[in-house]
Amino acid sequence: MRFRGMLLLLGIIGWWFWFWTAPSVFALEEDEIVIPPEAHQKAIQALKALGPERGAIKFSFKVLTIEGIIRGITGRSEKIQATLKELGAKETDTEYRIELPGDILFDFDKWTIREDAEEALSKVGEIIRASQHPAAIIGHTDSKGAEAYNLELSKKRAEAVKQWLVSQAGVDPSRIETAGKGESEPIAPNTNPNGSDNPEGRQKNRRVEVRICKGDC
Amino acid sequence: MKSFLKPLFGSSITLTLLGFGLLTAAGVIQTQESDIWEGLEADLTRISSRNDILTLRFKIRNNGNESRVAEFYFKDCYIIDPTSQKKYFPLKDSEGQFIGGPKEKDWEGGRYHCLIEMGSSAGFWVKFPVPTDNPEAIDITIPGFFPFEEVSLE
Repeated sequence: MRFRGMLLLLGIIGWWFWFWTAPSVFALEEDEIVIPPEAHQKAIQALKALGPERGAIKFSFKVLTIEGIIRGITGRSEKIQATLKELGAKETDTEYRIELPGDILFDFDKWTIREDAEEALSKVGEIIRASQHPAAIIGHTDSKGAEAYNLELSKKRAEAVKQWLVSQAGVDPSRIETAGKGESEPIAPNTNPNGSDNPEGRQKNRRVEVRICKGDC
Repeated sequence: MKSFLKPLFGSSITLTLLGFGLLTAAGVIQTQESDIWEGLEADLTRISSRNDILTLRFKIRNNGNESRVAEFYFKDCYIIDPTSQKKYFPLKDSEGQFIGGPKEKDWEGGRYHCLIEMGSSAGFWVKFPVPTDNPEAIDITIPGFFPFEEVSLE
């Protein structure tokens, strides 16, 4: 009799589970990503290629301990420092400055971000997100064309970079200001001393500058 | 017991056992908070081992009050065998891509990038070699999260 009672209880629990709990459990399962079937075969090949040591890197336990303790504090800043270096950022007392060549970011006379520029912009996004401080994006052009046109183009380009960082890199839009300087702030001469065209100089001047504050600047 | 009740009892018990099985399968092995992205937590949901290959599955949950982007390069993930003091990186295919996913971009062997809305989650997976000394437990590092320590491989 007691056994039958237990069976009845188990049955009730079973039906309750399927009506009330199973939907959420299945939802959890559906949320899981699917591993492509060929991935394991590729992994087997990769493992063979590594040889008997399987790519192991031996390290000192003392280093591991120190790493473990300071990881939370410095791990993040080390990664950001490495990314800043990759982008050729210049550091001042108050900010980091990254200059992105205009010819990589945009096609001639356009303000749509080129696909080739996405990797660099993505890294800029990482830095801005990690810094938690305000940033400014400033567009510059060379001196070819009308001054007013260049000013407008530089503003549009700065805004395009901001929009990309917000939509593709998850940067908070309220932390970025944009400006366009047109041809007013060259970093190289647009013409040679004899008055002839200086294409290298003009190329340097076509740029977008990203300034990331170190504090609330 | 009346004969028509027997199948009902039988199926009920089967359902109960299946239910417990499913609940166990949906469990979490270890959870770690993000040290960069406020409100994000990563669950290590499953470890499987086959042909000397470890497959790790994770779920990143956004418990915060705004959307967050989780982003890392697979090249920066690694596991550690603390006993033999050896570090292992994800397996890499013949095209130089780390075997893990999903990948938003192929840059530097693969980048994970996901915008996770408030209250939502997103998963990823990655394959490592089983450490040569067959340790009982390993430590796992995923960029952006505190390390998963002493994860049992038993």
